[in-house]
Amino acid sequence: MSSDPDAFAQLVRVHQAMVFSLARHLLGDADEAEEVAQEVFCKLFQHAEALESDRHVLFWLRRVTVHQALDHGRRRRVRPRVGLESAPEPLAPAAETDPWRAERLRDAVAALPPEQRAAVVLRYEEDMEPGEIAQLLRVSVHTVKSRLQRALRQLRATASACQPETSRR
Amino acid sequence: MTIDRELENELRAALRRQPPPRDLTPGVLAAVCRPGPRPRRWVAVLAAACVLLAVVAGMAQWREQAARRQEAAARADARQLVFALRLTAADLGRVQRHLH
Repeated sequence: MSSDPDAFAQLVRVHQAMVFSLARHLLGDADEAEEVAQEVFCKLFQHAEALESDRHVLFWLRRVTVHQALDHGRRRRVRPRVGLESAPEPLAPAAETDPWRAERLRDAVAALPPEQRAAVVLRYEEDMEPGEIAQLLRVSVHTVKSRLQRALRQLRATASACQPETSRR
Repeated sequence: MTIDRELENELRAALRRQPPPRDLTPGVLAAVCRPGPRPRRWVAVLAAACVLLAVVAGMAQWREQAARRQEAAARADARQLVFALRLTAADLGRVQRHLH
């Protein structure tokens, strides 16, 4: 990979949605996600020479984004601004694309412990397999699976808690 | 569809990739093309230099004070010696007068 400005600009254009979105879901804040994305791309510029292929770039970007976003979150002790308990009851039954429910689910993901949150975001946003997530987070596959299971248990509980009365019956 | 599968599908939909509100490329390029050294390294170098300067200044002051104390003690010793010599001279004068 070259650090030529034009080639680098093209890299930013190609990967900015992935980097921003990962950071956005890990931090729960668009402004901070933008800040993290900028930092990640600045680091990429410094390391561009060491990255040999597009696949390597993608892996590197995902890993650095996750770590950078989690560090950023730890520094400001990230927590969701709206808890599930304080959210109003929906008027209509839940649908798969219900924006209210999707928002509650994102809040629930943002409330997970950082390691579980990272596993969930990589699994369901990036569609990565547990083995790939394990490699990226430098933990065992067993650890990733266990984090995902615990996270899903928690999310299932919070999702059923915010299910509207009509769809519970 | 099982509850888990349903939840997983909901998660996929909720966590769908969201593009940034604006193109990040100009901001990133401006940041990476900005010249000049990294400020954090400068801060560290400056802090180390300040500590070194403080240590050197402290040692110099301590040495100066020690020298002053030594000089004052020497002056006091000299005064005592002169006083003792005067007393001895007076005694010797008295003895000489007796002998004559």
